[in-house]
Amino acid sequence: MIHYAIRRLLESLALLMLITLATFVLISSAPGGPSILIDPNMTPEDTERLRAIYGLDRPVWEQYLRWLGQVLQGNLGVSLGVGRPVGELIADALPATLLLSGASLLVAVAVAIPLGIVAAVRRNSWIDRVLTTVSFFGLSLPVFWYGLMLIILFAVLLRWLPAGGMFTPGQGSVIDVALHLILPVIALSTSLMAELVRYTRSAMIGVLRQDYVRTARAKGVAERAVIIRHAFRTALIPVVTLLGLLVPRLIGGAAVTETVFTWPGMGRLAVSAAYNQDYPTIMGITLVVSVTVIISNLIVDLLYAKLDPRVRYG
Amino acid sequence: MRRLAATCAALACLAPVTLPAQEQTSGGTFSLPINDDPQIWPVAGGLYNILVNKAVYSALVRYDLETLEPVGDLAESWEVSDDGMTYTFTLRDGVTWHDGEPFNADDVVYTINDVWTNPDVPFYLANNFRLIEEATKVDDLTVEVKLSQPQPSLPVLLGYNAMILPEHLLGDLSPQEMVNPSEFLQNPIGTGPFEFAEYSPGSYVQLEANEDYFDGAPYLDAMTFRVVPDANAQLSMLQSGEIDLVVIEPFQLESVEGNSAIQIQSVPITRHEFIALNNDVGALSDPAVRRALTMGLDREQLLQAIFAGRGQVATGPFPPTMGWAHDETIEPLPFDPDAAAALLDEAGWVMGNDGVRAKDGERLSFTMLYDPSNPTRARTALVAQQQWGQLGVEVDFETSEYRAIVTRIRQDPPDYETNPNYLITPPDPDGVANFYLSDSLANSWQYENPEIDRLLNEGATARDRAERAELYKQVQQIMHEDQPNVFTVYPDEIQALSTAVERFPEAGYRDALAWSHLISKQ
Repeated sequence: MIHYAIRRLLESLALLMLITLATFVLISSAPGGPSILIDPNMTPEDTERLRAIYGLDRPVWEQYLRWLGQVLQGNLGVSLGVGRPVGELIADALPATLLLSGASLLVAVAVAIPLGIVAAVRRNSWIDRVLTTVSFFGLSLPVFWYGLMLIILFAVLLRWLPAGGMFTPGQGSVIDVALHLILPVIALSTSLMAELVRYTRSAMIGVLRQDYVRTARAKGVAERAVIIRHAFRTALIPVVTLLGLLVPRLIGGAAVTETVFTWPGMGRLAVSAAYNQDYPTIMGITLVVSVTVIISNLIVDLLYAKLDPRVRYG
Repeated sequence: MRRLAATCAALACLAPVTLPAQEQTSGGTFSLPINDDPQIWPVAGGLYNILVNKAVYSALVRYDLETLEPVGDLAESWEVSDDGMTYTFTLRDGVTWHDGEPFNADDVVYTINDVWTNPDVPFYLANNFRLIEEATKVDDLTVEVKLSQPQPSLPVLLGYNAMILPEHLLGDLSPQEMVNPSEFLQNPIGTGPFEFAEYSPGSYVQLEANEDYFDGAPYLDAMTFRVVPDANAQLSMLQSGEIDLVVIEPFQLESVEGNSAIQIQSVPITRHEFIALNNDVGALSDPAVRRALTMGLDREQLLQAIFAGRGQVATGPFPPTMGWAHDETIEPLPFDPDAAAALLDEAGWVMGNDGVRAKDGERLSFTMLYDPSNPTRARTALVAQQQWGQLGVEVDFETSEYRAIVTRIRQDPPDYETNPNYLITPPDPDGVANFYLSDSLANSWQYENPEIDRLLNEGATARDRAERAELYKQVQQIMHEDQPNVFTVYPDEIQALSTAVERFPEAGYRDALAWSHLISKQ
């Protein structure tokens, strides 16, 4: 198990290098260039001077090596758009994203897993059909539209909730943040819920058909215990895989939701960095998200052993 | 001349946007959106940064709200030597920085010599001050600026995002540290009407009124610049009362007109819209073809349909906000498809069977490069394609992302044929000259006319305003003949304001924010 983990870690480092190199080459070859060099008030002479000051006139491989050297010293560089250290920008954005995505995941899991079990157990009943249909809708709702509708209804027309931001300037009490959290959490958890309901349902249906479940029932185990202790534990394996895949998505931030609701998280930081072709920030976010993906995949793999005794690592 | 169309939706009863000073209400917080995290650092550009800087810092000069003429900000007055090579600025007495230190000539000398004209500091507008040789302190309240050649536009350029920085806090920093003086930016210190109070990254910057502001304490208690990059989100927050001002594009008017919580203020700004023509490309090098294109495009319809009628039809690159330099006697070329067709016939472009004109086997056809995510530009492209199509001129579209377009247009030689474009410039023709001088890298239209070069260069140095006006009027007349680009519209800036706003100074918001002590809310 330890050997396995170490080997996976080493492979991951190589993978990380590849990801960052590919990202760097891709963004450097995108047409345009950083926004700070495209200000219409700047003359071409000023643009050239700034390009040299920021080292953007160097060959791409040299810029990459310079970036890599910085990163190895724990320095992610300075944003070309907002002029602040990238490490600070990410440190500021990460808690906001964790709050939003954590709350959404919690809501989604708390609602979707029980619903998925109910849908599986009462398969083909009216409740199953309603759940399946509703979750289908949830999956298909585009967040940029759905989020805007939530804002128009609850913020513009009813004025019950704020239209955007994480807190009211100058306030920021727990209640204030909670009020700002409601709409984005609804928007973000809807599709998560839909995905989880469908996943849990199909995993449970598969397991409920298995011989050992029939055996448990035949032995007279209470139905509740059959479902929770025998079936659900096995059904959790694919659900945990899905959650493992969702975590990096949540850390990377929900770009659309965060943009629509002006949530100061990683997703919006990434959108604005991409829009401004702010190379250091794009690279910093790529690095953080890649590391998260790799680590959470590793954790999921290791968790399998806990959930499924048949899985062994060599 | 300055048309203030303060339409308060259907409610004519709402408070007028302009009020005599003594009747204005004190207190309240004014919020407006910006697209990204501001550095609050005048060395760097970016509108989100510039807007906050206007409230925190002061320049030597700002623009009069009525005439857009330069008037004193930190400078009380200035004089030019007879040879036009030396400006002497008399500074305001008794001004203090937000940390209580007195402002004086040392700050001005430092900003000019060590920041603006230092080639190692990444000041984004350095080119505006390329003619400054040196600034010297005469006494605590007098600064002399020596130029390498006369530059009558200097006062205007000094009012264009050129903020004075505190020498006592920044004087020891190296040029490298001036890229991001992180310690200073934790608590930026200016002399402006508002002081830095709080910065919540990704969310907002909060400023508090500077009660000691040299031009009188602000009416407001505070200003909040909220980071809201999404245009829809900005409008929603305006409608829900969370922000007080959104500068909108004409197509967004529909969604706010009739909303009783919103009033609209349209103000002329120094901006001209045009369809850029690459004069190096085949048929576009012929002035007759360019004239035909202008006459074949209904610019009045463009103004009404795309700019909601807010603005006026353009005649050249110097908008009416340039007052003395704008030639009011020039009438826009008429929209006259028949005359345009005759011009093309004369130039040898004969209508072919496929409905497209041709000359010596070459079809009169070109591509128009535009950014589809900008509805104003996209609609202009569509109208031009349709109306020019009727003339027998074929237009193919090529779409791309904004920055990629700017890069292609600005590269040498430019890589485009036509492109709906616009320029926002300082309110002096010299601020536009760079875009039309033959040898300038910014002349992306590749327009070359030695007479224009001569007039623009003379206008840049002539010391007498009447003489300059005469030179620039000739420029406009020649360009009216040449039509280097298809000039379309001088659009107003459309400000959607919350009805809680009693007064927002009646100018483009970039200029108005230099007067943010005059903003008030009910």
